[in-house]
Amino acid sequence: MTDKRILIIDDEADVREIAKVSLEITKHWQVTTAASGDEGLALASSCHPDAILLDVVMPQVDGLATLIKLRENMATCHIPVILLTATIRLATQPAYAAAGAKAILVKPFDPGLLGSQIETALGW
Amino acid sequence: MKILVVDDDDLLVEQLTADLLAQNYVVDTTSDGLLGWEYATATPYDLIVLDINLPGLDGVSLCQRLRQGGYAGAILLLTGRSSSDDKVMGLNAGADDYLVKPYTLVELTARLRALLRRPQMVISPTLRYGSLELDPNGSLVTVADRPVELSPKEYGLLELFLRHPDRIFSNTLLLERLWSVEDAPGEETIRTHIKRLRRKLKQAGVDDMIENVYGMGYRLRPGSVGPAVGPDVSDAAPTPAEPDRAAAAREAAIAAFERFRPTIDQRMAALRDAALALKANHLPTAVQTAAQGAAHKLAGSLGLFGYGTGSHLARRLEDWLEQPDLAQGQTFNGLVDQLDGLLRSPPAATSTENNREIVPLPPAAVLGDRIAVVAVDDDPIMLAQLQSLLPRWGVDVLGLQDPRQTLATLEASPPDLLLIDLEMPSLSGLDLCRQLRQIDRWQTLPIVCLTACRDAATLYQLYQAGADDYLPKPVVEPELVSRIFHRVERGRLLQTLAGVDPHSGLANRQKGTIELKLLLALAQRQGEIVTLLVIQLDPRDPPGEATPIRSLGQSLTGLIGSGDVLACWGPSEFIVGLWATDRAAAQALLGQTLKLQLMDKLSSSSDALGTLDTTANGTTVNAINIDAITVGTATFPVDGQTLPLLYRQAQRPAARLPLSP
Repeated sequence: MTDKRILIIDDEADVREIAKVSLEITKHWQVTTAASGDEGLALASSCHPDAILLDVVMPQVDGLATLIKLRENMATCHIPVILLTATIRLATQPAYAAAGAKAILVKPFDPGLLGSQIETALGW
Repeated sequence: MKILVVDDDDLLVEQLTADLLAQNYVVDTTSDGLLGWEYATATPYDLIVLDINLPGLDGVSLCQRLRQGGYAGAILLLTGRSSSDDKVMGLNAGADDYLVKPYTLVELTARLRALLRRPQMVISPTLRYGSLELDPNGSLVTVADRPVELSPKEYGLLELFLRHPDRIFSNTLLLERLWSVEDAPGEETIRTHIKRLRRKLKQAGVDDMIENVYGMGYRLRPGSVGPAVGPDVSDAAPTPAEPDRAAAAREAAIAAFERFRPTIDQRMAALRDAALALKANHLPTAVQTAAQGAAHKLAGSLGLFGYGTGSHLARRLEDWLEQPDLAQGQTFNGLVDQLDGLLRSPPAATSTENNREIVPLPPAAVLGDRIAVVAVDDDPIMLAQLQSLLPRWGVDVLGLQDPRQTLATLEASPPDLLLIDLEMPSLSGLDLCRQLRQIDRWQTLPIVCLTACRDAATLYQLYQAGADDYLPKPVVEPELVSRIFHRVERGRLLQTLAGVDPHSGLANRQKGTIELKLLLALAQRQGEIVTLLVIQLDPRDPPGEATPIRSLGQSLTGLIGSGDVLACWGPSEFIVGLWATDRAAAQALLGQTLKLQLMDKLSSSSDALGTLDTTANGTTVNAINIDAITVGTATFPVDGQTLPLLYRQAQRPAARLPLSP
């Protein structure tokens, strides 16, 4: 398993921090974080992560809008996106599948398993 | 540093644990000797504290067992007995130190610290590989009795390979074993060290000792390995690191809680505001919205910090706030109080509330359609499992127990993906795969193998045989679904690039366009004519029903010549380009007899659509209403000189070819 680079886009500091620490400890992956959709878009274009964890509910530019922009941008459209949501119902929304997200993970996730779950979903 | 405390004196254990945790040790505790043994074999501990009197397995016996099993860490025995016989027995059994009750906590922790400082002086037998010898006690490496100079990391690598002759070590694993987390370098460094080690070994006369396993890592070349060291408890489990790291991640998350407490408190305050308002029997919108937001955030984050139940409560609060019933304010307030109380007690490191599976999403390319999978497995239980598990994900499984029927099944109903079990007695799954890949039509079909084998040789063969991917058995649902989605998506992409329409097996629109343009260009150059036929099927059944389209497509294939073009233009549309044929000839070829020929073909085709059914609504063949087929024509160059123009012309009502007999 080579070193993967992950970008986490979430407006909540605690989620960003825990996800980052979790992936660093369990998988030794390199993790960058962004607190908003716009910041995330910029980082994704410049850093080219191997995968993006994207929060669905964010103020201003929400998750779905960010996802659509990521898919439209030539520089980022190939990066697999996993959505994070605190709402269980959202887990079955076809809009997210249509927009091209690879998987949905409902919060709270297990910090001990996050890395393995990402590997399973993306076939790593 | 990891410490295991096996003692049934609860008060002591609690005090000791608190003390050790405060000093940043990782502590596991159990009050039973047998459980203690299980713990010790599952996790590498640096120090084990044992009480002599234990239920299950007494301390001295446990100590003996640990040493016999190769445990090389420190052992401290605790006892109430002070006779020297007991002390001697304890030390003979392999304990490093011995402490008699009553003792103070200070004394105990001082002894522990002393033990943890001492180097582990356990005699390990020499490891051998051919003429190479490695003596772990003196860290000496010799080849045919001549010493070999190795750097510490090179020595570490060699020792690792020799201790585990059958393990394949990935770069990540090597990094973990030989470097601390803080100064872990990149993979390049590993390669460099391996290269240097190989060079030194070669110079010493040992060649080809470390082999590369393609795509997986490095290992000792299977050969003459000398007496391996006994079951070394510190390397016991196959991947001792993984569960450790998961636990470490959870602990780190819990430790972070204090930093986020202010935010959590703010959110709790919003909830309490709502509770207060409810007591006065009213809930202003602003307060409700703030509380809803707070509950939502708490639902998503409390579980991260080890408060799984907290997330659960917060969710209930969120749901309640969605449709607040002022008369039931009591319920809400009760939940808030519960949550409050929960947050005042310490979090749980092993929260089972967080066991959420990741939910794979179907690829955008197949949304709306159901995914068709053919699964070849001689095990009916496995097939039944697949058939019960997958439909809820939009995947329908056709199970085949006899692999020899695969080809026929694929022709009859081409699926989006093929699952093959590799461990079948009659026909080897790999042979089936190879056979299929030799046929043009199945070149782009996604094939995923199910196998219990993990060895590099099998996996290599699998890919050589033409499989796209594999799934380890026993099959785990999220992984199965993710792979299927992923491979179907890749398959669709490949088919598009290869110019194949997935449903009909004919050329798709992109390829058809290219071929038609070439045909027209050729016609222009040679002064020939081409008649374009646009055949549209207006299906009465719901979309996604591919059978009539496929049959129609197959029939058309049989009706055209080798210089002509046939392509699937859309979900229920085909285009035919007929060389050197005018409208009249086209009509003769296809017009009046089209319906009959089609009906003929359709009723005799392999996916037999049943009998003709003449009703008042028209003649139907199963789901196809023949009267719903329209054929329009346009001829190059008279009706148009470009494909788009010809296509438009063919759509005119005047361009229709009558089909009725």
